[in-house]
Parts: sequence; structure tokens; C-alpha cells
Amino acid sequence: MRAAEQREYDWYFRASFGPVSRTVFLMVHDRELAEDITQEALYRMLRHWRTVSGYERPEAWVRRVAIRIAVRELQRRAARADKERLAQPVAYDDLPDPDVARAVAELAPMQRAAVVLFYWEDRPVHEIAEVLSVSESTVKQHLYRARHRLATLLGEGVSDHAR
Amino acid sequence: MPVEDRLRQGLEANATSFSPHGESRLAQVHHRRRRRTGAVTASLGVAAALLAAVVVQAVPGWSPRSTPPAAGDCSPVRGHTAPEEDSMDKRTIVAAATVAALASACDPAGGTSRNLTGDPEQGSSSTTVPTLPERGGWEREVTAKQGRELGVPARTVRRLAGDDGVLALGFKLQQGTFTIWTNDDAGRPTAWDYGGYTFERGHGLELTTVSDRCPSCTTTLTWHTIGGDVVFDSVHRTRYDALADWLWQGRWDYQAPS
Repeated sequence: MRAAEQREYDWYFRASFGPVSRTVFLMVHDRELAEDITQEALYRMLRHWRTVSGYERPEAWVRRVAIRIAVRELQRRAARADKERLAQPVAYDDLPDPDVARAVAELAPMQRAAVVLFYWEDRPVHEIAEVLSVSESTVKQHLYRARHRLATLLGEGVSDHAR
Repeated sequence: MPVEDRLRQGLEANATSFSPHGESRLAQVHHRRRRRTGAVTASLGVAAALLAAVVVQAVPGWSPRSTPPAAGDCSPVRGHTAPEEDSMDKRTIVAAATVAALASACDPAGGTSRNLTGDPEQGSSSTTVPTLPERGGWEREVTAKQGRELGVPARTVRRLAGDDGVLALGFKLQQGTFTIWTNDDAGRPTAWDYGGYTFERGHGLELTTVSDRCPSCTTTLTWHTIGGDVVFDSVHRTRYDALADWLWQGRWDYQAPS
């Protein structure tokens, strides 16, 4: 990799690492894992840098890769035996809002991703659909179900204007 | 409280409690890349040696020394004659140039209190390109109604303009960087976006974001002045055009340095 390319890559790394790992953290609730996943996505960007650097938004590519890795990781964890999961408890009480973290953790992996992208990153539905490789109506369905499940778990209401 | 608001507040609180260690991870990525490149090179070397051995074994009487390369057989390696930046578009060149100045200040953890430093000549190096001064700043207010009319998502308008429907904004150029800020709930100025800037011909101003808002996004504005005030006439951004229009487009009142 040439020096100019490396400088450019390093800049994208620094600019993307914080935001992407925070988003992933809201999904997986594990600081180390969130950083590992983001690092993996950024490493893949480095391997494909010649191609990715030509894209209009390289950081969007990294975000998509990181979220897909996170979803797969959550699906893998969900498939594990209960005993194995209990061996690695998540310290929700260390978070400023443990109730929201616990409630989000109750959602299915794709619902978690949709909720985090919609409510934290403020992404429009069509962009979420692109990131998750599903249709817009599927995203809306994920959000609808997640909202109602979260309302029950958090003891809150669902507002009328919510999509 | 509606679950949507509860969720936004909770996610924001939890996300901001997490400070990632980006720099150490960057070093790890480069280390892994070097190891992989080294391993691939070594594998290719071994494969080439094995292949050469097989060829020597398979062709009796032939050895590498029996057919030395011709003296003039030194054709250039394809691709090495192209300039280094050929594959980069204008956006990435501007970003890379800005980044060189801002790299030390690009804190991946985000936040509003970083001390950006840059090349002080960056914004005012040419006498043929009109520029704005790096002294003082500009302020303005926009309303929620304007935002909605421009097509900014309703939830973004609500979040930014709050209950009173008015968003106070400030804008400043300093040492080759731009900052646009808003007031938080307690009325304290909070950086909304920041990064490098360059003035272009024809009263153009190109902003390259380095904040978490939209890393590497560029916003291109055309401007003119009325007295000390500046008016941004047209705004083009690589993302969130409507939001950029709402925040930037229109007249900004000059505020002399205090």
C-alpha cells in the first residue's frame, strides 16, 4: 500500500471506528466484541481498499459490513445452549440506561439492528433496508414489532405518529 | 413517555458511555495486514521455487542459466508509471489533504471539546480566490417550519429545534477548520459539525467533515457577502442535502471577535 493510500485509509479508519463501534455496541452490548467486529470490518476495507476507496461513501461500506457481522454474531449466540450463554453474562448495570439495553437485548438480531439504525443513527428506512439486505417493508415490519415489544418491556406507550 | 423517545434517550446514553480505542485497533489492523502480506509473499516465493525445481527436473538439459534474459528485455511493469493519485477522485484528494492537517485532531471517540489545529494558510492562500475572514464568526436562527418545508425528516427537526421550534446556529472559520455549532438543552454551544475547508473559484466554499456526523462528507456552498454578513446561496452535500440546506442556506449575521 502506498503512503498516500495508507494516509487516506488511516483517516477513514479514525473517522469510522468510533461511530461504527458505538452502533455495534448498542446491538451486542459487549465493548470488546463491538471493537473486534468494527476492527474486522475495517480490516476487510483495508484488504479491498483499492475498490472501496473508489466508492462515494467508503464509511457506508464499513458500516454495512460491521452490522452484518454483528447480526451473524447475534444469531450465532442465540443458537447457543442456555448454559453457554449464562457463562458469559452481560453487565447491563454498568450502562447509563440498563433497562433500554436489556429490552433491546430481548429483540431478535435483525430487529435489534433495525432499531439501532433507526433510533440511534436516524437512518431512513430505505437505507436500513440496504444495510440489512432486506426490503423496505421488512424493515418496517421489524420496527413495528420491535416497537411494540419494547413498549411492553419498558412499560411505555407507542405514539400515534410512529411508522 | 412514548417508547420511541425513551428508546432514543436510552440508546444515546448507552452509546456515549462507550469510548472505543481506535488508535490501538488501527495499529492491530496494519500489523495483521503486514503479517498477511508477508505470509502471501513467502507462499508465492516457495511456490515459485517449487515450480522452478519441477521445470528443471522435467526438461533435461535445461537450466535457468542456459537461457539468460536478453539485455534489452526490461519491459516496464504495468501500472507503475501512473501518478500515485490517479485512482483518487477530487473528493478523496481534498479529504486526504485536509486530513493531513487534521489527523492529530481526529478523535474517533467524538465529542465537542477537541482542539483542532490545521494549516492556517489553507483557507486564504490565493489572492484570486475570494475568501471569508477567520476573525469572528456568524450566527443565525432557523425554524422547524423551514426545516419541514425543505424535507428534513420530522424527527430530526423535532430533535434539533426542540419544543420552541427555533434552532440557533453559529459558524466559524479558524486555522483552516470550520465549525458549526448549536446550543444544547442547557443553552451551551455544542459543536454540530466540523472539519477542513477550502475556498474555490467563483465564491465557492468546500467543507470536508471529520466529525462523527458524516465522516468524509463534503458540503459545497456558494456565497456572497452583504457588509460583514455572509449569505450561502446554494448548498450541495454528499448526504443529507435537505438537512444541509436547512442549516446552511441563507443569511448569517457577522459577529465581531469579542
